[in-house]
Amino acid sequence: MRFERRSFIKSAAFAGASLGVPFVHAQSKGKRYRTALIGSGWWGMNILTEAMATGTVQPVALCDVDQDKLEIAAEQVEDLSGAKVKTYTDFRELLDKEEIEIAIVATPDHWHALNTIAAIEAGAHIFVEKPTGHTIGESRAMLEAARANDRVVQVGLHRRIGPHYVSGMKFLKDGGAGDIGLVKAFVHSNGGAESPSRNSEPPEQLDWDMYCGPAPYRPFNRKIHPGGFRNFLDFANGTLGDWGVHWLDQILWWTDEKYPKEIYSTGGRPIRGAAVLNDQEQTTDAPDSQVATYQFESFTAVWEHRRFSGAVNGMPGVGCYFHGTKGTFHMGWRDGWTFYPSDRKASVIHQDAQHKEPDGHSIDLLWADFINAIETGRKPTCDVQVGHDATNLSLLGMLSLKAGRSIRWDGENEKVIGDDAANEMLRRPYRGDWKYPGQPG
Amino acid sequence: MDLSLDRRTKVVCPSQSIIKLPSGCALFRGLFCLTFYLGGSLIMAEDSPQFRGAQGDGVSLENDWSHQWGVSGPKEKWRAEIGTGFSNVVTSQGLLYALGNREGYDELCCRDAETGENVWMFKYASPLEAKDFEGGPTATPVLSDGVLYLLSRGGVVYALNAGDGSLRWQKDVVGETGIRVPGWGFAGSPRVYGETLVLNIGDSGVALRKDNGDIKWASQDRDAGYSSPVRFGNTASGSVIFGSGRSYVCVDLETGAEQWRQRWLTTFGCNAADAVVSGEMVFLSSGYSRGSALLDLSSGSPVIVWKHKDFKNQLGASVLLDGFLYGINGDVDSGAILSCMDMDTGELAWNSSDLRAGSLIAAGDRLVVLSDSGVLMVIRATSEKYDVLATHPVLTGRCWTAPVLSDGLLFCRNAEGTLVCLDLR
Repeated sequence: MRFERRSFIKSAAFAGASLGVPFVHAQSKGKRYRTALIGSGWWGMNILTEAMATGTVQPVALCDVDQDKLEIAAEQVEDLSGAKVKTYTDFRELLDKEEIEIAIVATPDHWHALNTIAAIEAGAHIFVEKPTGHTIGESRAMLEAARANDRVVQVGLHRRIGPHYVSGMKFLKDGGAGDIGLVKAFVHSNGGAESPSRNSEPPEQLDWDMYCGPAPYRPFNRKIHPGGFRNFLDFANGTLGDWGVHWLDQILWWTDEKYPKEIYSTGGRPIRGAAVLNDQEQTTDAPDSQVATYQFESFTAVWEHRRFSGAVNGMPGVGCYFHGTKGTFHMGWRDGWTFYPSDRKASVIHQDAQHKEPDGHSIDLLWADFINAIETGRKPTCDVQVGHDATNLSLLGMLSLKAGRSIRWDGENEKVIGDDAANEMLRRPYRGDWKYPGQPG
Repeated sequence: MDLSLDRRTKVVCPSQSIIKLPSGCALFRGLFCLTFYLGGSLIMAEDSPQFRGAQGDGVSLENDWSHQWGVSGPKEKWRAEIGTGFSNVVTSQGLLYALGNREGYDELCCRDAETGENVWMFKYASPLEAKDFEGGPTATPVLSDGVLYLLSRGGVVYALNAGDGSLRWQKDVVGETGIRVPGWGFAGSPRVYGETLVLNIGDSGVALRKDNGDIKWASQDRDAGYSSPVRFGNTASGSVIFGSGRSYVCVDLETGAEQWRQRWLTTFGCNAADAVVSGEMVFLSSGYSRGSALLDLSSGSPVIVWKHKDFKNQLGASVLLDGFLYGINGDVDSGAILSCMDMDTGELAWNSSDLRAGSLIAAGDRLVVLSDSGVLMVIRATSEKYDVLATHPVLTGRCWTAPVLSDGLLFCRNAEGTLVCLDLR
């Protein structure tokens, strides 16, 4: 049967309209993937709702160790789609009982590897939040599990797909800033001294033992949950392990080099004060300020964050400065990108950001790319290897900070050169019956 | 002139005495206003001695103020730095009390409301605790019988002589009861009912004797929410509604005994908006994936009249005028708007289209709204349409604290601690 092009478009548009869904959603052969969300807090639900809006998802199950978050999320999914989803507090039970095709993993960092690998082994494709691991060995195990099981893993590095990042990167790669010798990535915010908070019994809706999972068990404290895990190094890696992954990834996206050869980081808690953890009370323990230097073959990259004195008049608070022979290029977030030429007679070049609001992201584009990768067999834009490399940069910075010394990195074999103690820190002991994933280092 | 009278109408004079008008008495009100006019020196002016103003419901009766400020905006009388935080100012008899955090201390300053000049200051050690926001104190002090009561985010109450700032007593409620501090610290403003100081601490509140701080009763060690206690019921002792971490709970004021509870979950345990009470009806609203509901308490236990997610008060409660709720609808990060909703039916009357709202009060027949970026807006309080009467930027930075109108002066603050006094007389 042969359609005239014009009449085909009309009839397809009509079909879309008659179903009450926008025509653009009729991509991906109309298939709706049976999807589970592991970690149904704010960001996890943001990903799931963006995914649902593309019309490619049939939500089937949610998992969280906090019953309240689970109940609210299930209600929200039902409001949006009419679908009643099953809820679980243990991801293993979810994977055992539900047939799923996609798992979204949005738990705290220390859970990413175990959640992701179990879901891959259950046959699911994965959309996982960055960082890919809490230690480098976990991230490596996730990469290997994806490859061994031939599953698509998209990492939530939406800054590789957002329009202004793409156009800014083209500007850089086309030589707009000239030859670049130094890149500085940074995130600054306000803050001050910190006092300990008293520990308490965990809230009755929270499975605190499961929250801690493979990480060391510690008394519950309100600073951790809800909303505070990133400031605790047992569960995450502070600002460098959070924002750092996004901005360091911009550097890896720009350069042809795969990894740095030497890393040195220093920092601490000069403002927040010494970390406290005892039976009675605790503080956060992530650094309030940190500098990490990454020496690549052909350039130097520097990370800097401050959790105090964030607002310097008129200066961007987040992003990357690429310093080149023609000038300085700022890749920003909500402020778009801007090129400041060295030649004072030349004009500043700027492009505004284009984001999915309210959260200033491009999860919609990243999700569409993920589905396309599943259906075409190509690698997704933020493939697990991309996520692994960016995560490694942040984790190597943390490793140097914790070790208190410079490290030389054999990126091909993912080993610290000539430093056994540092190599021990590529993994960490797991608690109780939890097994560290992948092959022994 | 519409002389119809709202049931809840009270008129508060500068002396803080409260005159209640009988319900439905239009003629009486007309005479009353006339008396004010003939009196010459008398005007409808209110002190704002507590969170959400004289009545504690965000509705000021001051209507003798002007939004006809022209292109240059309202006249700025003075501007001061009061430290980081989100507390409202309170006012009484020409004095103003403002709270902010500086270098690890919460500072309570008493100033001349007309000039901004410092009269006295009291401070206590308290960390900034900037967890996903600027930090600093979030509860508003309450002034009663010449004593100012403050609640720190860590759960310590300070009672100060309002005249000179001297400390009458202090009480570490958390230390004494062992009740946990919720994730973002205590934010519910203390309230005084009779001789009792009521605090949103624990599962369903803590009550202290206001004269000496002794604990009258305390509730279970569970997460408090972030809203302020609200009086409910007409019984002799009365009841108080607390926004708790996972529910709204009503307890007996004298004993703390639970009377009813409405389960009310949010993503972050953030029940931050005060319950809005109208007779035996109670309106609840929260952001963070929750929504709103109207509860009918005429049977003694809550019956849901309606419930939906089209109206969400994330940070502060709505104001109720003539059966319509005006409130900041939606989470601030997602570009909250101003909405008007019929309380009886839950039907939205209108949504604003051009405003990232932060907070609001009602004053007479108008709404005073401060956008989250510091634009002051005056909006007609009508359910008919969204009708902006005046607008002017007055602050920069994050503004989540509602303006305070007192004696024709409007006080607006931002999170960083800039306080501006605008003359709307």
